[in-house]
Amino acid sequence: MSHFDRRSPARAEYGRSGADLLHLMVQNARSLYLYWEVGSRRRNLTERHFGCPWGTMPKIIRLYDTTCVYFDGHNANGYFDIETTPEAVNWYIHGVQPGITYTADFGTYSIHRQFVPLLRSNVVVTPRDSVPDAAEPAGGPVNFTAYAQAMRKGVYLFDESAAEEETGGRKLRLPDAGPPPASALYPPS
Amino acid sequence: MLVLHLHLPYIRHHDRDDYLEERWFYESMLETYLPLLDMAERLAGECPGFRLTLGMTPTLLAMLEDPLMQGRFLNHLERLIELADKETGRLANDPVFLPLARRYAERFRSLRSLYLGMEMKLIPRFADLQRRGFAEIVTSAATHAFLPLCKTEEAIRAQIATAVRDYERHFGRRPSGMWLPECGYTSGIDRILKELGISYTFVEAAGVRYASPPLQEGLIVPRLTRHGVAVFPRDPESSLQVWSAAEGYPGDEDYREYYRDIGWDLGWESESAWGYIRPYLLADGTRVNTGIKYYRITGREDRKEPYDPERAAAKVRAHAEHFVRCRERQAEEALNRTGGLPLITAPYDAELFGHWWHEGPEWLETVCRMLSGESSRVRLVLPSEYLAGQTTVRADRIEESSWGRNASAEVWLQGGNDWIYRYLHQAEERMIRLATHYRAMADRDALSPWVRRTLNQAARELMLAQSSDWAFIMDGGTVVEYAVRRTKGHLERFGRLCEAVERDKPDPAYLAELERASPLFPDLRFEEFASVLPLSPVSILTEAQWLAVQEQTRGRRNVFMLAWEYPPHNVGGLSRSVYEFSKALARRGEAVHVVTTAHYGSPYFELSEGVCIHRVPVVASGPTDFWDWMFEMNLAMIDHLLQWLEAGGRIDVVHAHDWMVYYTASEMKSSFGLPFVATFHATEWGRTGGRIESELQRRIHRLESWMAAEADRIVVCSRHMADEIRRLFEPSESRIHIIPNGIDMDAGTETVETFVVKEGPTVFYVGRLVFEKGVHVLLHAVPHVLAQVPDARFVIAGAGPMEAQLREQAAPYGDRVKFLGHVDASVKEAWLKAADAAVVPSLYEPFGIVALEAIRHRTPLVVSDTGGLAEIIDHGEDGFKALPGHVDSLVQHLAETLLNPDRARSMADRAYRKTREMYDMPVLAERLSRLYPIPDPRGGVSV
Repeated sequence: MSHFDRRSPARAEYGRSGADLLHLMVQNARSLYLYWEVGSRRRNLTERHFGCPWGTMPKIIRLYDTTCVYFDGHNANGYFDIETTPEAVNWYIHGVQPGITYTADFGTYSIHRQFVPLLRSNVVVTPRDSVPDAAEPAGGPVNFTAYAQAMRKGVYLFDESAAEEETGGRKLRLPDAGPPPASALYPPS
Repeated sequence: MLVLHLHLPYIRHHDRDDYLEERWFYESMLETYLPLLDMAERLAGECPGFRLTLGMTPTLLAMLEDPLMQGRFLNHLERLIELADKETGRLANDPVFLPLARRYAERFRSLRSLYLGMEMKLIPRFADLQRRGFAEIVTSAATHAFLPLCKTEEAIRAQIATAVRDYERHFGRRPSGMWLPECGYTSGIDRILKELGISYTFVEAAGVRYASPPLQEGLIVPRLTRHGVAVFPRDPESSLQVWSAAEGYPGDEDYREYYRDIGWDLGWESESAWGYIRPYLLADGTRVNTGIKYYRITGREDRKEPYDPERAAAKVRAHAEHFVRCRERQAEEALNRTGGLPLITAPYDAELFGHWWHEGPEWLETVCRMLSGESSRVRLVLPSEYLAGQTTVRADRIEESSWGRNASAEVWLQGGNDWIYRYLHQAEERMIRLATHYRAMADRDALSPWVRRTLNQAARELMLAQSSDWAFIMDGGTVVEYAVRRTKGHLERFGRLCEAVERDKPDPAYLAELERASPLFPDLRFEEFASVLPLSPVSILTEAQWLAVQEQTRGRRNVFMLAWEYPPHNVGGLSRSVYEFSKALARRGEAVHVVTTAHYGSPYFELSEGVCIHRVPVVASGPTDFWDWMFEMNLAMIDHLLQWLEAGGRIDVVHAHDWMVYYTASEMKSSFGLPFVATFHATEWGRTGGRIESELQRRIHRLESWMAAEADRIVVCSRHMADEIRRLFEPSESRIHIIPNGIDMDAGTETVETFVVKEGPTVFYVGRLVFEKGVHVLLHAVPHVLAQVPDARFVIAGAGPMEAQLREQAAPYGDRVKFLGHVDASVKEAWLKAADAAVVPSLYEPFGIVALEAIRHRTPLVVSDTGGLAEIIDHGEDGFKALPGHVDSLVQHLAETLLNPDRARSMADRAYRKTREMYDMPVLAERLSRLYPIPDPRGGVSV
């Protein structure tokens, strides 16, 4: 039996040891709840890159207002950071606004206090708790099943039928995936 | 519209009958369900206008039809009759309490005969009421899960679909309406309801009050959501009058006091007193409510007066009148305000009537009689009746809401119970994975019975774990331990069942035991949990693409090239090189994949020229340092490759291009033993001219050295680079291989002439405008060349950090030096073809693929004698090599080329022939193919 007729040799014992999780939930119109798990693989890679133990690295939640936005990491309407504790695996975020769409990242700061996300959450919408202005547009979540697929978050409970989106024939596109390298010397020819 | 929601969590312990929590069923049966049914049947017989909406949850229905629970309730009833008789004996000489005790004895007896009269089966009688048009029974989620806190659409769908199927089994028709557990609603649930045939539901006032657009009608008409589900908002006023602990009717001083039960009051004075009551408590002596209570509320203090049935009855009448008058007033106001027919929706937990509020059923009956009388201005109506006659008002969106604290999810998501959700959610996803996988088999009839049974039972366990009752109890702080045990227990059983299926290790005894313990939802189908969308297992591919790739790459060696850039993203030569090699390998029939970063305008995944291109999106936040961005890119690539492997995709060889993808290659090797080949297109040392000074440069150098150490093979493009790698990283000799970059000699030759406007003999440069490319040296040469060739022109294409500086340097030469900026491929090819000389004045050049591109057009070349360029050109034979950085040398050779076009052309021809032989892609691709550590299954030797 040839090498290639067997199941892929790479299908070894990669267990579900530390699946990466980051899930955002709405507690009420002004409070969110976030839980997470950073698997050992991700932790090791992060330690390697930053050159310091996971336990000493700041654990940051960055919460984005992504109302009416096809979020790509750079185009939120606004955001703020929360520094959590080293051992925390969940967090309540109070004081958020009603009627807003939120996404959260879990990550750390580089030595230059720049935020480096390790996990990106699903998207939630807080309900309103007051009567809206007559002219206010329905600030519902932008349906982006395609993006959700790309971020591997599964199907979302949004108003549009997920199937409609797929058959709409829209090609999967992502807005600018990130700035080109800052330094002029790289990459090499 | 009166709505009663009948619900109990599924508490059925087949092994023991002395669970405190199981008594909730007996108590509700005794005090609520039987009395309500009795009342409803009486009203149906006497009042034609009687209408009642009943929500009956599937878990309650399961217990009502369960012979075990039916029998146990009968026992409970018998015991109570016994106790009541004993009480009449004990109180024989007490004129105040004896009548009360007798009342209980009579009442229990009449309930028993009622119960036996219906053969212990309540459900058919409720169904009958519905058939006769007096009641409408709506369903609820299968195990009363709080739907907004579910993670996946599939879990919500499964809860509802299972409930619908179960309803059909009980009532012989599909349900039109549904009671959302705890009125928990969120956007999108209406779509699922509609798809499963539900046309209406109920929400908390807040969901509609803040809906957009805001509506004048307020709460007195139902809304129609975008998906066509009618939503009845709960009326706050009628709700408060009944519910409120402070101001509601049930708190009246003449009503029976709940907390003075003989199960707690008796047995304190003596051993014999204890012996009297003990048989009616739990086996371990824990006190319970028996249902026999003799006191009325009286007031806020502890001192309670004996219960007086007549006074209570008078209050009932008064409260009923009050309630009806309030509704009449409400309706009139609404009518005056809007002119439409107002509807007041008054939903209540059924257990309030009878169990918590003893006089509740009496009150309810009185209210119903009043409202169904002919002279009543407000009448009772059923949801379907109302919807048939009226048009509903459209709302764009109903807000997420519940009838819990703050109209939110707070009760079910707070400090005491938030821990459950990560486990429930992971379980959801596991169930979906299994259901999706096995549904395919089920469709083909290839599913073995034990797998089906196991998956069905797993679904049951998961749904039981999802019951919102457990979280509710944890919030309320009552029998928390029980709720925790149920949650953990069901999840544990779920896990074991899933494992049995995943590992193909059936455990029939265990399965049978679980089935026996929770015989609910006999019609349950695990397939309800299957993925709504045919999600591919790898997120950037569609399922069709995934299957196509698997098919096409079967039985072949899968080479995965990791490159941070790939066309159409071209910054440097790496992109071109990887492109050429991947294409050429694909032409040889290999399965080649390129993993790179997402690029605006390009699809995440495509099959192009035989190469599978994976463009993974990088998760970044705002402007990011290059170093950290590189890390984020690697995380994204690793995630992607992990998905690929987990889904059953093959990766046989990893080919990493340059240090930027080192983390990924290293991770693949260390985790999965995948061999990797590393190509060094250049080194940091070379780029910095041997001066590794800054922190960033040191880090890059370090990554390069690790890559050199870990790679199974190292590929470089020239002898020069091989020497460099050897010197810097000292890898063992046998691991370094030289494969020059090549180009497809037959491509790129169609150009569009119109791009090019030549004004004289032209020297063309294309490349990045960075120091190591030596463009400034070229500009120094310009005046000297012009001295010899006055009408020469210099065209410089490309962008880079030195552009401003170079333009300034070239300013004195006016229009003799033209900067084109970044040009696309066709413009570049056009200029290369048209130019009289192509110049590559690099100071550091690992290869110099642009030279080959010039040769492809038979354009004469003047290059620096450095790096790979030195190896490509034989000086004086097929081009000229100038001393790097040396202006005079460059001048001399440029002038010579321009002044002797014939000679230049024949050298270019010689270059062309040589390149065809040595640098044509098919040849180079074969060498690379032989190099890979895993052999090509179709033959060839592994190096």
